[in-house]
Amino acid sequence: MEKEKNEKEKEKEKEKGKGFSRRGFIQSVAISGAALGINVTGLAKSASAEATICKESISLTVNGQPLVLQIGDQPDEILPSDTLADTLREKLRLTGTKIACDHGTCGLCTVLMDDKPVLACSLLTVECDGKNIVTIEGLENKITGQLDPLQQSFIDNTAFQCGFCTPGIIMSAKGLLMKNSHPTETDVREALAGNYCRCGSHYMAIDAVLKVAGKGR
Amino acid sequence: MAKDYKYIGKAMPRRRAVDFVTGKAQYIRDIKRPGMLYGKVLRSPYAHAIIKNINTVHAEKLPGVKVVMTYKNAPKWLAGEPMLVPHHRVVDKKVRYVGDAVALVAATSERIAEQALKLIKVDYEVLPAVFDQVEALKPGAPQLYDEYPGNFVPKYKPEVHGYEVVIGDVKKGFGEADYVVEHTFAVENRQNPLPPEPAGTIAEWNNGKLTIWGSIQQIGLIEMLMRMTLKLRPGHVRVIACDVGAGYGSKATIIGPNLYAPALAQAARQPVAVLQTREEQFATHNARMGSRARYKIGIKKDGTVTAIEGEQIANGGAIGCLQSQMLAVGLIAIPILAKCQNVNFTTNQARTNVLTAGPYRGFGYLEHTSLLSAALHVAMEKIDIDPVEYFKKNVIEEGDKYVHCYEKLKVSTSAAPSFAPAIQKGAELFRWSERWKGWGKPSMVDGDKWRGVGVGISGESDVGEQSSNKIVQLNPFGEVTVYHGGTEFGTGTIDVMKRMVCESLQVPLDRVHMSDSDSTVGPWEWGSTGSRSTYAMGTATLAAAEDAKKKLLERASKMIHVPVEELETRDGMIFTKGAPPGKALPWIAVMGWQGVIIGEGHYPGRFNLPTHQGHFVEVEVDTGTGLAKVIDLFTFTDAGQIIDPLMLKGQLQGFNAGIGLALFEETVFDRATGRVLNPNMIDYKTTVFPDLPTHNYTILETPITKADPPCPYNARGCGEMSLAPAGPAIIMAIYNAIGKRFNEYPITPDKILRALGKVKGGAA
Repeated sequence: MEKEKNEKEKEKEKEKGKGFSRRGFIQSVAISGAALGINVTGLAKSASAEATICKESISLTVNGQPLVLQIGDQPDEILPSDTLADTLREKLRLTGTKIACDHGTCGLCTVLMDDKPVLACSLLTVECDGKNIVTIEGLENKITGQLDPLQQSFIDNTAFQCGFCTPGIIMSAKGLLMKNSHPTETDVREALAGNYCRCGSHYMAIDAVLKVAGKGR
Repeated sequence: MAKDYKYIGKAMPRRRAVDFVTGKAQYIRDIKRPGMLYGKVLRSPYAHAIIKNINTVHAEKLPGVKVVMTYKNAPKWLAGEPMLVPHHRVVDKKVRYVGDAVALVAATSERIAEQALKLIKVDYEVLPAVFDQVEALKPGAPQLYDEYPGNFVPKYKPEVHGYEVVIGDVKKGFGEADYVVEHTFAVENRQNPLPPEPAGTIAEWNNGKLTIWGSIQQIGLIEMLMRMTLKLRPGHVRVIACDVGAGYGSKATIIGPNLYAPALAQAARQPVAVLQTREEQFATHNARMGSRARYKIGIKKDGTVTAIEGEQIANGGAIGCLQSQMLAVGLIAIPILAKCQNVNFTTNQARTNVLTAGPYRGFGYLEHTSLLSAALHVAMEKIDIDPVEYFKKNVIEEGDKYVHCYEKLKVSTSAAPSFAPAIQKGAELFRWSERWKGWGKPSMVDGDKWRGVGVGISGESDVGEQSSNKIVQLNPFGEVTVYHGGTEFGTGTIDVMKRMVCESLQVPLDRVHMSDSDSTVGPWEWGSTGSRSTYAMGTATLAAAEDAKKKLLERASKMIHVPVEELETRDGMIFTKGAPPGKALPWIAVMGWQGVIIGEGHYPGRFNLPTHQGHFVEVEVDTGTGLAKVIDLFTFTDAGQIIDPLMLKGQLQGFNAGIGLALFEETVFDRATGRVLNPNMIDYKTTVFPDLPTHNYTILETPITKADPPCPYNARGCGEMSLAPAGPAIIMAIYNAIGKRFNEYPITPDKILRALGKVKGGAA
């Protein structure tokens, strides 16, 4: 069903051709880019942005599901200025990714992009064309519902209090473990350096990551 | 020694654990109501001004805008303090701090609401502003409110809230002292509570009744304050707490989104969400109360404090928000830190044109503990006493009479066991006597790195404050529902109640269901404050469970003609004690498949159970860069009975914000304009993972034999205090490392280098 829809959207995209206003896109990026403190000139000139500018839609995979997102201002479309966090939360209703500072300073919106932890509030969705995104909702086994060992370890170690920063911390830790399955405590601390927690669950989060490390994914 | 329980004292998964780790927990920003609008606030660029003219025509015409609210059409609700001096309007003709509300907009999206704010034209008549509390109280200072003549926050109803401690004869006390020392200290860095989730509220009106969903940490209190402020009858306000991304005190106020959302929703006749941004959280929501205090302390060579005299002057900021209660509660620091019979200490508070001060973990006593500890350090050094010995000598012993000021000034007789054994145990495990080299003496010097150790103790007497009511319902199929009125915001409150019910009724965790945090479900509940949940809410919960069990067994007794005292229940079955397994009666046989048994429990409110927490620290000061860093921290406390070791560990490890308060956290104001200069998480520093010190701890479980009512399973709370002892311990350790005394937080590198004579000039 979903696949069928995607196919249709792809066809629609082909038909429309290159009608999307390149200038409008750059302006939008410039506005949101300035707000985020991103070097707009650099971004607009980059190869991936050049490619995106010509498009009316982008394709990406979210939690294993291929998606085509139309660019535009209709309710089911994404604006060029939408951040990945906006799109995940508002369009895809994946609300496990939290937005709190919206300026890339707290790590609450951390998701994996091609296996690397990124801040979803500081990425434009249009930059994610062709990317593989995994959010907190994508860690558990879709068929059995079994939790990722890292999630289970956070439960077993009570590695949270209010739970609000937990999805971001888990995604940062997941990114670390995918790169380095036997991290030291220092590695874990560095990997979580961008994740804010105020309740004081830092030590227990470190324990949770270290205890699952090396046990396989 | 703790008893062997089945559900208590053991690490078990938190009840919402799966939702937290899978992203399914529903915080306020994850909730949408049908037809919901978004509210935004136009904020004042001036610290003090009159709105001469405000033009909203263009904003109103913007497609998608539903309401533009100014002082002209805002509801005439009056909030603040709470209720002693109602003075805070939803939006006023006068603005009183940079960021104060000038107008509110509700629109179909946040973007449109933000655009609309830019279309509002305002002419201000800028007034002189006053930022400092002492200046604000001087004759001729700019006046903030008619309700507060002279900007003085009046000492209304001293029979309800104490504002000073006057006992004994200080003149006589100073006469008996071997030394008299004087010291001043300030805690004025206006630390932000900074819960990861900024506050937010959705309001909806239906037939004159208001429902709010919010990131709210005390639904009972908010329900009461809303009802009083909005002049609504009981039953007309429903408060529902979503999952709460922590609060630390900052989400127990109706100032901010809780006031704006109902006002906009009423005007729009649609649900409205007001969701604070991080910047608004920093620059407009309540910060830790600023205050400074002077002390004169008389001390004998043996560590006996003969007299304490002094005054604390607090900067309450622009809006009254429980600061008076904080000052009253803070006075507990005096008996906690000094066993002194002659005290004359008073508190005062001023309204000023800065960000409002409000509750933040350590409700007044954290501030006073820091202020008084700094002065006591001077006294301790004068008599050259080991601070551990001083604290053991000055601790409140069971049966001691002490003064505390919350809920009027009164003398309590301590029902808590002495804290001295916990101090001793902590000192042994930290190897204090080995590491302590004397006042002003470093424990280690390695090139530019100078290390010192310190100890801080804090305490409070509120673990039994306010009353609690609970309902426990037994269901026929062996399930239990608890109607509790509490709110979970990270502390584990509801898990604690649940464990007690499991233990009392011997039913497994998955058979006990805790009601939602909804003020219309279950009896009215004050909520989690001052570490009261375990004792106060726990007592009522356990009483309700025991009441239900009694009713169940009485009915079973009549049915099977076995005396009630010979019956027991576990796993939804009733057994005759000692009978062979298999001969059991299921609950359904007693109550029928449509029946339930309801138990009720009440807790009356007590203020006689002082409780403590302390930290030992080792601090390393880099005399080259001026950076002070806590490298080792050891916590000691006495919980009576640990309910869950991991949940309590998490509470104790909340100390990081205490380190931040002492060393680097500060809301920086522009002294000319009153504007907050660092309302973001880059310029406002907090502890991050790589900076954590090593942490160890010891938790004693001393029997509490004198508490009335008895502590449930001998347990009482001790989590709130984690921040409070950190500052005093750190400031002592820095003094010991480099021999320099500081009289304010945060002790940043520039202040250390200045003290060491490595940079010139004082504070501007």
